Amino acid sequence: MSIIVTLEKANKYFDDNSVLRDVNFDIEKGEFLSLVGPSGCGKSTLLRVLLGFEKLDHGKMTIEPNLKKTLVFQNFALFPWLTVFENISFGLKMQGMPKVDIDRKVTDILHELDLHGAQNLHPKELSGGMKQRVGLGRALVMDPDILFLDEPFSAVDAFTARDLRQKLLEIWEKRKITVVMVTHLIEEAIELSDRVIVMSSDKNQDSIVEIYTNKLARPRDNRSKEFFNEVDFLETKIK
Amino acid sequence: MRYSHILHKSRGKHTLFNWQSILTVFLILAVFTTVVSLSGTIHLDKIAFVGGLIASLSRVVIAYMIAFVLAILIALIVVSNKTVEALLLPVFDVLQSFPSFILFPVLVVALNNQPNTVIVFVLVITMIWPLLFAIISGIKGRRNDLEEAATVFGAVGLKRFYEFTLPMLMPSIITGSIVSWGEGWEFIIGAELLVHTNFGVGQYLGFLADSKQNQPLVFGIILLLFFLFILNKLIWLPLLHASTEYQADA
Repeated sequence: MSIIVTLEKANKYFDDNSVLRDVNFDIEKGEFLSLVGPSGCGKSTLLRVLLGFEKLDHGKMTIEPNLKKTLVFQNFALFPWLTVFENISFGLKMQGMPKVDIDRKVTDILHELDLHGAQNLHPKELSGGMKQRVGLGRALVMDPDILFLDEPFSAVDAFTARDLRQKLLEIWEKRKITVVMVTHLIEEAIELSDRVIVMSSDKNQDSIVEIYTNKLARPRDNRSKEFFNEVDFLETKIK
Repeated sequence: MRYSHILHKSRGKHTLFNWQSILTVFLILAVFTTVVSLSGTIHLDKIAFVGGLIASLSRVVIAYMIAFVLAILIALIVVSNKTVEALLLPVFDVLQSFPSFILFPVLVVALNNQPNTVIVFVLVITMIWPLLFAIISGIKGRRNDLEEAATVFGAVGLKRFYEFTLPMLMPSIITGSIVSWGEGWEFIIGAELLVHTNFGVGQYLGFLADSKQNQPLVFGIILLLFFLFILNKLIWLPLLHASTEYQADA
């Protein structure tokens, strides 16, 4: 697999507070990568750096030119005045795509995510799970090279989260896109990811304490002994 | 009046078949019946009154549109830079308290005694403040995640303004517009009394007062209030409702 993003000695401060300390890692094309760590370890800041919302104070980020990036937000961030259809089509409209193409692409996504029938509803009329599917649809309809997800399942209940994780895996396998997901759940990271970047909030050490390669075969049984062994291994790294 | 405190509190339900709507229909019927029955006995010059009302309405609408465009532009400039905001906001806070009527003698001379221009100019500097502070408050209170979503999905330039910024600010714009519109009508009556115009509802009511025609004067004031009530009920409240209906957490 080819490398599409590289971070070298990346450092970020907010005032005097060091948030990212000497971060080094690559993102490979087509992989499912997770960023895991406790609150305040800088995983969301790292995501914002990768998205270009934050600039590094020191270090270097090399990114493949013309890489199309989209984001699924933790709290959905759907535009409340737009319907499901309009929310999903927002990015395409901004690109200036002809209406007939927008209609076709959005209709496909609505079917792929089981949202047909809800296309004329507004976000406040949707359940948490449906909102996040709209958020996912809004990101996927852009045909991204990298799909970033910021704790995408933390604002929905456990059953919905399980269904959404399954859906995300299906989409990743089908579309062969690169996925970078921030999560605070080690189990979630191990269930979904090829690699897990484990981060620490300890200011006396580098932000990344482990870059873990997941050897568990897919589909993964998250009740198996091997699965829990991997979870235990990563938990010791975080502590 | 100060508008820096404007918040989005007026988010009451406005549906077609609630008791307020039924009351409104009865009120319209009652006023209509009263107008018809009194029109024979009270000598209100219908052409002067209706013509004046249209002239005054036109002035308020023109002033509102100018104030609206200026308020949006100034608000975007103010919040674009922290230094600019720190410099301009205290200045605006003082300027909004400035009594616009003081400017009349200066403007009448400066604008070569053109009544319409003078009235519209002073209306603009009266109506702009509630709009400006409501929009600034809307921009400052905006959700960062929505801003980032708009950025991630490629909203830039004018498209961003029309498809994202404007709808996001709509509740603030409508709230500010309602206050601004009210201020405008309050002001224009006084303005038309001070500046000599050929047509204007304020000018006509002033004429009735000067010539001691008390019955038509009271009748005219009631009709004017009723007209403003209907405008509010049929235009602003439905707009407020539409703009806030889907603004719940999403």
